[in-house]
Amino acid sequence: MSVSVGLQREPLKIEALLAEGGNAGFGAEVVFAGVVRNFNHGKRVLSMSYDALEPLAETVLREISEEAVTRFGPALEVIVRHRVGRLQVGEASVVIVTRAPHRAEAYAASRYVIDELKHRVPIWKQENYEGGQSQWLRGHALCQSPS
Amino acid sequence: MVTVRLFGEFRAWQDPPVLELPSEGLATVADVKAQVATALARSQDPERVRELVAASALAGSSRIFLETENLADLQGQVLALLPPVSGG
Repeated sequence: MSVSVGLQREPLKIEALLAEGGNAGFGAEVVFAGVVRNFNHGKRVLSMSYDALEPLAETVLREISEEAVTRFGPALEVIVRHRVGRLQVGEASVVIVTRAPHRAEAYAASRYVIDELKHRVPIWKQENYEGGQSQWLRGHALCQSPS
Repeated sequence: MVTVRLFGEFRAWQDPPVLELPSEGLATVADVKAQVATALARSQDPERVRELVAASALAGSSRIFLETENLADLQGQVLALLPPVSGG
């Protein structure tokens, strides 16, 4: 099993992530990138600001990635990087690379990681609009973990 | 004193985004959330504050706490108030 996660302020470089890990047994490599788009809620978006509780966010990202390996196969490789700070339209906010012997597991793991990330990882985004307004987006309330 | 760091939308309500709460009367995580709501409602719409705090979780650096957890068991931890998340 190979899992690598992290948060960073610097722009995400997909080529660099693709150079991480990998082996000759992987027949499938899926790359998902979440990108800042220019329109939301009827407003023109100029940039997006990401905030995170970093130690806990990395812990939860690792948990999710390890869950993906448990669910979809021990041969999986999962790499996740998420940006924090201010991003311009068109920049990637998150990149997920999943590798597996076959495409079904790689696709399923990629989908699992991004869906769970959106529900569980303590990261928040603020849209900055044309005209100077901004708005924090409300998503999913965090479930309380058992003690 | 109990220190609570604020994240996401809460940052727009408190600058710098941290609250120092007197520890008297704070026994559980739920008590801390109630005290945070009271403090923020002094400068913001109380109904909006109540709604967002109710939907938020209190966490430390490694896990999210149950509302029933005793504050005494969390000594030394800086708490963080986490509104609904929106990463990705």
